[in-house]
Amino acid sequence: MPDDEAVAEPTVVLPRWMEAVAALVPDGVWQIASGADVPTLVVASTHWRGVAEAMRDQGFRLFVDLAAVDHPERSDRFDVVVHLRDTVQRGLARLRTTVAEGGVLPSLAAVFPGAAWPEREVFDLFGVGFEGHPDLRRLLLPDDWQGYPLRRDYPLEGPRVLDPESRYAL
Amino acid sequence: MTPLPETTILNMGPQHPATHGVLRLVLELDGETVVHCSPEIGYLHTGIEKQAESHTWQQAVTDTDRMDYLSPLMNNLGYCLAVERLLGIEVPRRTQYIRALMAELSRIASHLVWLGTYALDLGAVSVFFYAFQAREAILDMYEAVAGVRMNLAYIRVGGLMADIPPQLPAMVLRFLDELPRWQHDFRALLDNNPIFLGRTKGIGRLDRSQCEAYGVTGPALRAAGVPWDLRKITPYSGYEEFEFAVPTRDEADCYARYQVRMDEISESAKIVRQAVEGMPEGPWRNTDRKITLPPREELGTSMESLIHHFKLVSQGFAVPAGEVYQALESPRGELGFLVVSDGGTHPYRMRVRAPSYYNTQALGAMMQGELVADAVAVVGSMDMIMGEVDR
Repeated sequence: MPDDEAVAEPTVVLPRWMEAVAALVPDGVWQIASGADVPTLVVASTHWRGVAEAMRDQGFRLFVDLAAVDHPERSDRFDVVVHLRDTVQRGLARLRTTVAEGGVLPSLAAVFPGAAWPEREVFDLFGVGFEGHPDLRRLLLPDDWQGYPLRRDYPLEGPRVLDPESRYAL
Repeated sequence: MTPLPETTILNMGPQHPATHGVLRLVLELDGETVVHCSPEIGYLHTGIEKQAESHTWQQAVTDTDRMDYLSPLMNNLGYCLAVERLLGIEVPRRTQYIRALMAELSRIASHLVWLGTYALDLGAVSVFFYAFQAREAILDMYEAVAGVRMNLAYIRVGGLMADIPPQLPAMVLRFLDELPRWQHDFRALLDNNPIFLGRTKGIGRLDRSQCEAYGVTGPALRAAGVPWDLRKITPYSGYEEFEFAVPTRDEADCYARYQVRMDEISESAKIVRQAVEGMPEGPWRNTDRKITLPPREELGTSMESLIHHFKLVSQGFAVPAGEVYQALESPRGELGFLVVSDGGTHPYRMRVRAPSYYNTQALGAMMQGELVADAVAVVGSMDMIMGEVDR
């Protein structure tokens, strides 16, 4: 395992904000992992937006990234991960939640306008919906694409490539 | 009869010379004023994150090259730092210095391409030729260390492709001696050029709070007065040992971004000089044979080396299960790698937080209220690389 002393981000994020966020959204935070490579809050999907808003009000105003990871063997197969930074206290924080296939998360686009594209991308490549998103369309793939390529069970050569009816077929 | 709409929709791109690749902007115009701008991306999507899942940890280095093709070494470095954190290994100090040296050279090269093409977009043709001529020396250094001039894959998990060749320090120092003259020429052509000033000053403003909300980092954030540079905030690869400043400007417009990048070239040159002059002796890669290939000459005499070689080449090394987010300061901003391992020999997930992606998304906010003629100046000032936007 990595030696935490040597490899952890040298910025010290005070647990103050973690406690504050957990107190603001008491039933929304499932787990606090301060020993991970980045201090992490695991959040109930129903409180996703509330926790993000509380984080922003704690100073984490720089929206870094929103991404998904697929674990097809789980019933809640998608991890959705958000990274935020505090440019004054110089902290980095991670929020994580899980969604089931066909599930929907509250959109963060109203809290962080920068979340609009990555949410569209997760919708495009994983098929996770976002409730309250201003413009939830596919971002990278053509609008009539079928399937969600970044799911683990999507083959490297997709059906679109093999389907002779497709107007994109060679 | 239905009345004519009050606004016009204008498509800029995806085949427009000033969009630097294949970016499409849908501009809604009221006369000459941009009422709404909606960037459309995806024309260069090549599924790099998906491809990485089918490669071994070491092979995936070559996927990262092809995102930000103007500074491929930054991508290599970010990915390798993330995997090395998962592996829990350190690289020797010499490796760190060589990595920082090559990364800063590629920052200079990337800024030079930006400078040339930005001036070209605004009608100043000669800057383009000078900037590319200056960049040529860096491409020659790339060629000397890795044999190629693009897509180097020079930085590998656990170390480097090879040690730097003996002629490299002299090449670098010669370039550093010439660089101030180049910079003087660039500034003489642009700094007081009334056309350049008129087209960049006060154009495309994006203040601190907008930058943060949209995830805009790099020169655009520093041009909004925030001394935010991950090389200082969370130093990696030995950057804490180098002395350099973080240039900032307060105007948050296109001209401020130009000034920040010009100053950054000088700061990167300082790091390059420190790295060359203070280059430590020692091994240039990790010596753990479970991760790093054994030296070629041992293969004929050592059975153990032969087995290690065979295992590494045929199936690669396994990485302990876990998740790591590693970010670094690329020429365009925060380049982050969220790497997930399930304990196997292939990445389970490689998510790339590309700075250009967020900088491109913010174009909509920056363009509002600008004149359509300034669209080119605003797009160019964000220095986006569509390869990493679409991945």
